[in-house]
Amino acid sequence: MSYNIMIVDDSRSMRKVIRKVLDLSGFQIGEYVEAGNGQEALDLLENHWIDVVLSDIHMPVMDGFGFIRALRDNQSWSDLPVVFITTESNEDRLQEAMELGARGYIRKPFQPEEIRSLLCQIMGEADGVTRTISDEGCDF
Amino acid sequence: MESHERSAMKDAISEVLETMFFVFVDFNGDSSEAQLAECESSISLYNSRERVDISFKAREEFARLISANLLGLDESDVGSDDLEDTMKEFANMVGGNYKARIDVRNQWDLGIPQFRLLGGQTDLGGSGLVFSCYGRSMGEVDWRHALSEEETHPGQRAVNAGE
Repeated sequence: MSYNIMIVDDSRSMRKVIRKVLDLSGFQIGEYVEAGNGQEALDLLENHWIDVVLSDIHMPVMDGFGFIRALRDNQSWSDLPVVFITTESNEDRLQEAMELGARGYIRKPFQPEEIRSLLCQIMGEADGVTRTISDEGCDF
Repeated sequence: MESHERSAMKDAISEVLETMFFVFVDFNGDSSEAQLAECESSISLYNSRERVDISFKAREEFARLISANLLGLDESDVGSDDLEDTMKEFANMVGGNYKARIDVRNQWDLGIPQFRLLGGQTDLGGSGLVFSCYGRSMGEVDWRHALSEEETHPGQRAVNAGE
């Protein structure tokens, strides 16, 4: 089974790094969809089926909080898994993100393993199975 | 004895460069060499009363090196957009990491990073932290406290990036 991944970050470099981490992690990716901020991501969601969103928090136009609130307010996307990859360190703000429905967060700078293991868990839950991860990647 | 802020900045820079950019630096450089910096990225920490402006002035070869390492490119293939974007992300990550080390009460917010070319001329304040790579000075980090726009111009909305 392949997954469609949306990466939302105003840094093109960071979007590229995240793609590279996923490419090297053994995930079967159907499509990558990239957006530079929350509003752009909402617009792209109209025309793309997405399985998991990896999003920054600090972005111009619409930040990660505005984005996840908009997702939760829309019946079509209310269950879409969102993981924040962020420089945010304020525990209250990160807790707020979780209360808004984020499935997890990863702080920058990150180790590739952190993305791999969190995505493996989320994708496994979506499929109703427990995925394990090894050096070769997730057991898809 | 080294101040907590200075120590936190060194640790933040080292952790970010080693984890994301695979570059190891030390802080024993010569500031006269770092004056040849060609580009600058910056970011602010801010709250309603105060602002900390953090500036990273760097040689182009350093910016090119970290861009190549982050993006998995050959240094000769790093474009000016890659270089700008990577320097901004470097400021973003160091700013966030530094904030995590000093902001125990969660009183600060992190702004949006900026970038500019310096044209080989820099105005180093002397209070900065010079960082070196492979034995050569590659740049300088400087950070200054200031009143926020709100405090400087009461009644006007702060115009810090990120708001």
